[in-house]
Amino acid sequence: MIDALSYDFMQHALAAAVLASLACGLMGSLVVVNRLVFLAGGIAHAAYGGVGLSFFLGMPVIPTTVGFTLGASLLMGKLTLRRTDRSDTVVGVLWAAGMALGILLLDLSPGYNVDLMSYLFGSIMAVPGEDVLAMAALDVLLLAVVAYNYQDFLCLSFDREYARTAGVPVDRLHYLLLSLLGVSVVMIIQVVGLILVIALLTIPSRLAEYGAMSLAGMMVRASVYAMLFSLAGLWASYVLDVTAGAAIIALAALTFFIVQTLGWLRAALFRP
Amino acid sequence: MSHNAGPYAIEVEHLTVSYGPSPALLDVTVRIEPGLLAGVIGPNGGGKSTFIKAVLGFVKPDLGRVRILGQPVEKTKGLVAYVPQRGAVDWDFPITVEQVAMMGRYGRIPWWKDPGRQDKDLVHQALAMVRMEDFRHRQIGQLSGGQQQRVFMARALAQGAEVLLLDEPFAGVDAATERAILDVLSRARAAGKTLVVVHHDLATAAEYFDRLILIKQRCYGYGPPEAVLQEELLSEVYEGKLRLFGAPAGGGA
Ligand SMILES: Nc1ncnc2c1ncn2[C@@H]1O[C@H](COP(=O)(O)OP(=O)(O)OP(=O)(O)O)[C@@H](O)[C@H]1O
Ligand SMILES: [Mg+2]
Repeated sequence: MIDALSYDFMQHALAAAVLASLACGLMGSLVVVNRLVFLAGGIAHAAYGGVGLSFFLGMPVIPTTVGFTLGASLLMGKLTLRRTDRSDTVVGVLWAAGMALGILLLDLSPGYNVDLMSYLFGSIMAVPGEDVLAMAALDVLLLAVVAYNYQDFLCLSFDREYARTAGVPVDRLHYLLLSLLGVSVVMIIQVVGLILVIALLTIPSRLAEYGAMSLAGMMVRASVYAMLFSLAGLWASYVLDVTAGAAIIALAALTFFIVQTLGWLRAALFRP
Repeated sequence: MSHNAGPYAIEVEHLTVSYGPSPALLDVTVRIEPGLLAGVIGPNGGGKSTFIKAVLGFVKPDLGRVRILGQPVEKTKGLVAYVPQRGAVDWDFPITVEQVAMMGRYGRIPWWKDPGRQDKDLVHQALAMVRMEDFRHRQIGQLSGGQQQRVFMARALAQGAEVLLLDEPFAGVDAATERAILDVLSRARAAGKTLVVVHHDLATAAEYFDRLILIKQRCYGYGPPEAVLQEELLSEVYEGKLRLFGAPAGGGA
């Protein structure tokens, strides 16, 4: 492993994993306590429409995809703000439609042959230096915005109706949260792929929630867990020569199931 | 007090609210004097929760107006507080009793500041008032139903609210807990707060409350319990399905 660290690609992979983990711990905690996992999945898939659009129109990929995903996030935010009328179904429709749009636009773009697999699983072993910097910038942005609005996010997440009476700008924060989520998802997909984004947003955060005494504490723990999973997964993928993203997810999911099972067993054994 | 305007804590005039084609509340007019413990009673689907939500400004009325301490709801941020129904709370949430109560101060703390000495004192006073100070470092899910209810009361008190609205605080709690919650309500009233409480059990309504509001779409009565708990009024509202003082054994407190 030590000699592996002397490779540029391995250093980039480690840096990307650590930076993505931080972003996922922050956003994932908010996603889990606000029950936005399905919506996050919708955003992540709809983002592929932005990828297709950028190739079809010959525009730069990242800005176009970020713009498209922001639009999709805000639209989903609008549809889910009041949580009525089967809003989750509409998210499901946008989820599928965005993905299909991306695939169709790429089919229609002459000369391009973008690999859907790399969108799904990412290419953490081939992260360019600029992407590492972009991830670092994203982390700074997320930390700043979440710290600045921490009290309001806490209020919003715990008790929306109370937040309204306390004068918290609930609607504005809801959109802010989804915008942050949209930007984060695109940036992190670049590095680790669609499936790993969803895994890193949900699994470490849910594990972190057990025993956490504050939302901030949950965020810190979720980030640390995500980092541990990522680093261990990278190491496993290097040693066993398997796909890095899948190794990270397998490790996280395995831990999740073990913890869940232990929880059930404890409840079953120690409850009269 | 800075908000001293008019003789009423809550004025509801010609309030009409509808979700669909037929109104949930129709032309409801109620004026509640300050310092009272008022109960809202009526059958399921009668519009009790809607009444609370309309007073809080959660739902927009079609007609009519609501004033709290003489002002429209939007202007009274902080003076009115809502204690949610048990089912509406996420009990897994990583938050302690003290942090929930501190949430009551957030509206008053500018974002660049941490809670100060005064905020902490108010939070501790509020927790002491509901007798929950020994539990302040517990996670919110690790409490009994009545204790949880009291924590949300503490949040409302820490906020400095003058008007507290509670939707069915007695639902699903045992008799001892019901007493404990009632005790907290009485203490809040003794401190000059106005409380409006949705309540289901007619057998205890007269004993618990200074005023009753009987709602089934319309307001069928508002006044002291003996004026509202009239046989013919109740049989009209509950369509004869009610036996006030003959509750079956084992039901209720
Ligand atoms: N969000 C909503 N959308 C549509 N209709 C609603 C909504 N909330 C309440 N209603 C309807 O408005 C009426 C009043 O409901 P409300 O919840 O205020 O009654 P309630 O007296 O609190 O009943 P319960 O004793 O069961 O809590 C009911 O007919 C109900 O079906
Ligand atoms: Mg109700």
